[in-house]
Amino acid sequence: MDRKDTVRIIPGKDRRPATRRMVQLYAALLHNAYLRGFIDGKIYEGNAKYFCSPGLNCYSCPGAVGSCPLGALQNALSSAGHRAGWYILGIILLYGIILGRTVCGWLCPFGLIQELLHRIPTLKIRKGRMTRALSWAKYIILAVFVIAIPLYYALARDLPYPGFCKFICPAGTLEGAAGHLAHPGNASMYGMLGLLFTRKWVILAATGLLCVFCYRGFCRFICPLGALYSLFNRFSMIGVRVDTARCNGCGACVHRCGMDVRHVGDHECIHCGECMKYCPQGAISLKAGKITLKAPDADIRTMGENTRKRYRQRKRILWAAALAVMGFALVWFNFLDPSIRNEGLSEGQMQAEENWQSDAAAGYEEGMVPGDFSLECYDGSTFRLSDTRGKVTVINRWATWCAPCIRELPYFNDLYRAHAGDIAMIVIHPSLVVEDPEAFVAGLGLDVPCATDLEGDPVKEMIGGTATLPQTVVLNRRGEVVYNSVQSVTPEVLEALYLKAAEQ
Amino acid sequence: MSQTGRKRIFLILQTACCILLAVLLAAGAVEIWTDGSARKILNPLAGVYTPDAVAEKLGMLLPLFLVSALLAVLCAVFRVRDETYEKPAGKLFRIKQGHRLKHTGLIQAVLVAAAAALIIAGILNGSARDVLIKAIHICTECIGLG
Repeated sequence: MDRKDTVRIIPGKDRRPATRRMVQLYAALLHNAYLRGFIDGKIYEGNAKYFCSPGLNCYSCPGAVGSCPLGALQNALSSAGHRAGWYILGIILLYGIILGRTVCGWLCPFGLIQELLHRIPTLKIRKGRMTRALSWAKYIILAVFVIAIPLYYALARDLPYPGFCKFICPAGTLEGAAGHLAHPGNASMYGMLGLLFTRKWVILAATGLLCVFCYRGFCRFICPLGALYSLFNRFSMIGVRVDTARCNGCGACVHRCGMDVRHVGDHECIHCGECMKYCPQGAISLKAGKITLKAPDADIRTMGENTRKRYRQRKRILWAAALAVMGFALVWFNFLDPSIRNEGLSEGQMQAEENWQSDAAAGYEEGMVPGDFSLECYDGSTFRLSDTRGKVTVINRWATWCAPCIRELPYFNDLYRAHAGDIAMIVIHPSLVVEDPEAFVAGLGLDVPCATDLEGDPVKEMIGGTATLPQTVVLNRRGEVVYNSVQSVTPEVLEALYLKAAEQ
Repeated sequence: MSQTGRKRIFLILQTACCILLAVLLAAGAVEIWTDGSARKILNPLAGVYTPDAVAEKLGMLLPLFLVSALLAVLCAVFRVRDETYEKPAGKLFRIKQGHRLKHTGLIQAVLVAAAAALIIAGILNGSARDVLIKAIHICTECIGLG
């Protein structure tokens, strides 16, 4: 059949949003159902983060209720020296075999953002041999930034190093970094921005521009998650299928497709089903195994009245069920979830009222006095905050999985040694541990007293800690907060903070 | 000028706006960083980025953003789009005839079983808990904050 016979669909003619767009919006909202996070400027800390969401959605996004599979994979590889990350490998394998790149076409929130950017009316870059060649770049990015870099740092230096998140991921910059910086309550985070943020911001701007001109530019050329899922594309359970008995090989599907496919369902195909509109033979359908999820338009038109009625009814039931799930998710995550860990930060302040006798107000902001606490250190000693009066006190919160935290630990140790006798210091690990922090610091040979926070992280609350690491608090000799910030510090900054606190 | 020519001017203007917006967004960040870094040498406690500096740069971009938004609305109203893009792609590359692998069902069953085994092994060896712990804490470096 001549290509002229292809059904001509004029974008924008049918004003109803397409089913796929509705599903994409639905999935984006479900990925980010913790709407309170956007209001409070904090992330969701409940047990739903045991589960990985299928799409690329930064788990540091204030609304995210699931973990990012790519972030989790890099973290698992970063722990390769201690524990095999079977769980995340299983999750990715499961998503791959069930959905393949259907995730990219229907569920990925970052895919939706790319498609919306591409709708901005500008001159566009058409696909061709060059874009097809570039589409292999994502496999190189997967191999280097997601696998090789975290593995190298884990095995050679025992340092967590999520290469893709740190150097490239624009989803992390947009949803995680910008998501937090946009909240007025997180103004202190501006203090930690530097070269890394500048570099990632430039990458985000470039990615945005790429997606305006080039359909799903990030997805096609960069996304390692898409590269991973593409490995399963040929045998995934859900996806577009071609009825070979009907197909006449005209190639309209490939010519009309925005992705760099060579045939429907190959590793570049995101199973969006847009090609179904253009297939003159009605040979393409979206299927889950043998069940047809979306039949070709021509088939729907030729259906009997009763069949068509049943088809519509089934669609309505599915949407009603999906809306019920969404309603439940929104209520559960925002109001009912008992596993959320960042509730009631004011408890620390309340406790502080009962403790230290000071003219300064109780609290953890500058000029205030934090609540007293005592922790048993790994060396057997006990650190009690109220015993540090008369000395400059430094409290640092760190974790074994936080690379900047680990890098700055020697700076604290040097400061502790340099001002021994005039400084009290403790470095505290959160109560949730991935690997033994005691063994970890023993390997670093630190003199500084180190401890693990008690169950429920009460010390974190007392010093106004959040889910963000590293955090450093400096108190003057009267026990008043001179500095309390979540950011990496340098030796120069630590020395300046010591002098500032010692002078007061 | 023909209607197509006028539409093309809209598209070129919008293209220029988008490029300019992206370039200015990136350049603004670089400028804040260079200024802030110089300030930080003198005072190690000073921040490189400040909310005021960021607000100032974003404020400067607002008029351009509004122009771009207006152009987008006009393009939508007048149905202006890159029509050459909507035409079927010409000679691309050799189109292959797609075919499903043999024994797909068997491969699927084996892989689902393998995935289930890996997930159970992950729950037992604690790697599921690792995923949770890392996801409920923000590693500032990982999201590009610093």
